[in-house]
Amino acid sequence: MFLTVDANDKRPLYQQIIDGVKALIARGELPEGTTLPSVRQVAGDLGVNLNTIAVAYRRLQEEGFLTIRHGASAVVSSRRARAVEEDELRQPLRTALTQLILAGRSTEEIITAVQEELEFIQQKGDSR
Amino acid sequence: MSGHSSGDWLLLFVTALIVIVFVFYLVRRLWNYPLNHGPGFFLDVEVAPGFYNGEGVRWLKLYRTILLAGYFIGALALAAILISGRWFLLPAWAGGTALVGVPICYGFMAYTRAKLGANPPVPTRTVVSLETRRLGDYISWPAEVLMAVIIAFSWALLLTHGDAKVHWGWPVLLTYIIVGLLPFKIGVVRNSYPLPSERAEEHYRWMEAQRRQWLRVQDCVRWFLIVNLAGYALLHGWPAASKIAWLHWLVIGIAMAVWLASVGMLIRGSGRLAAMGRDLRPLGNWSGPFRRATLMMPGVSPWWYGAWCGGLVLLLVLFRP
Repeated sequence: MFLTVDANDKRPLYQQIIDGVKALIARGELPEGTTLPSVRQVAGDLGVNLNTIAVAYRRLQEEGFLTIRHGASAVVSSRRARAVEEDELRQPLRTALTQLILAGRSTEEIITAVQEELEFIQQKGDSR
Repeated sequence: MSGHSSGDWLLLFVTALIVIVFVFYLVRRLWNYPLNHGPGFFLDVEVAPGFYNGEGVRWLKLYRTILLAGYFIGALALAAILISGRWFLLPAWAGGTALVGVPICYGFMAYTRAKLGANPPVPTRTVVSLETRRLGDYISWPAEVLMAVIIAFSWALLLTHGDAKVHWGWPVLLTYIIVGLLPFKIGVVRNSYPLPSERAEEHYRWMEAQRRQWLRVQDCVRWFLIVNLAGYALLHGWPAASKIAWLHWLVIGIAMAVWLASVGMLIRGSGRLAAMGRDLRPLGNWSGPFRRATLMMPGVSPWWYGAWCGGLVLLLVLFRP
């Protein structure tokens, strides 16, 4: 399991870690019960501050994806996030769709893109 | 030379084996080492296509000249020891050659980076593995405990029953190296490199193989020294041992077996690593988006190596024969 981070990405590094871990969970590459490496290991391997990784792990814990016991490793706890409002859940989708519309994509192109992304995620998940 | 004991002749035999290994390494591994990662690299510096048709020839010549000069100095020192009849210096020669060789090697690597890789490309994308690295997955704690017990037993024997011939520098030196290599092993497990985003899986497998190889080499060295320490303690701390001729040869036989197994492992492992990493990007040598390049392998800083060698030299001075 690998996590890709990009220095040119507009998202802060901790957000890239959060999104990356969520994507791996969604695709089934990080099944429930999988132990993630320690904050120290990930920070050391990447060469970033411990706090950056700690923030990412804490957010994932708050959203219900990880369980972190004091002094122990982080464990993937669920493939589903904690119960959230439908509106909150759709907000990122709305933002992404707005960006696609502003980029000049037609409705058909947007639907195709969404279907492709969905199939990609589901295929990865089913292949496990 | 008739004044030499059977122990001296054994030392000579072991030295001859070490010389064979050194020469084998020179021919099979070191001579073309800068090309280990394919023609796109010189050592760990990425070079332009056609480098080896132009400037690269000069660089290869420089590398090989330094390599041969190092071997030549080592050969001169060996000849001086043999001719002067001070064969007891042979272990110091073998160890000293390896200790001096490392800084020369890394010094040359630093020089090539400064000259050839002054403006290396800094990739913006990097990959990190989410596999956990626990010390217990790499270091056998029962084996470490066994080592500690043997060291403690050897020291207890020497301190309570050591004869007048005990030269304390030898057990101190052996213990220093054996114990001093444990933090090195922990460092090798704990530290890692970010991976390139291209062929991340292959780079990861290669990095893991490299890590395991280094740990195996350290363990082989430590077990070899443990056998030496325990054998020394037995022969000098147990009066009856001097009357049992086969015990002497048993200790020597075990030490030789461990040494030969280590050499075999080192040669096989380095060959496998070279084949695996043939066209992969050398890890840790480029500055990443979040991390500077490292000169030495993960877990070893030049400061740590310098401090460790400094301690070794200090012990050699304090307990000189």
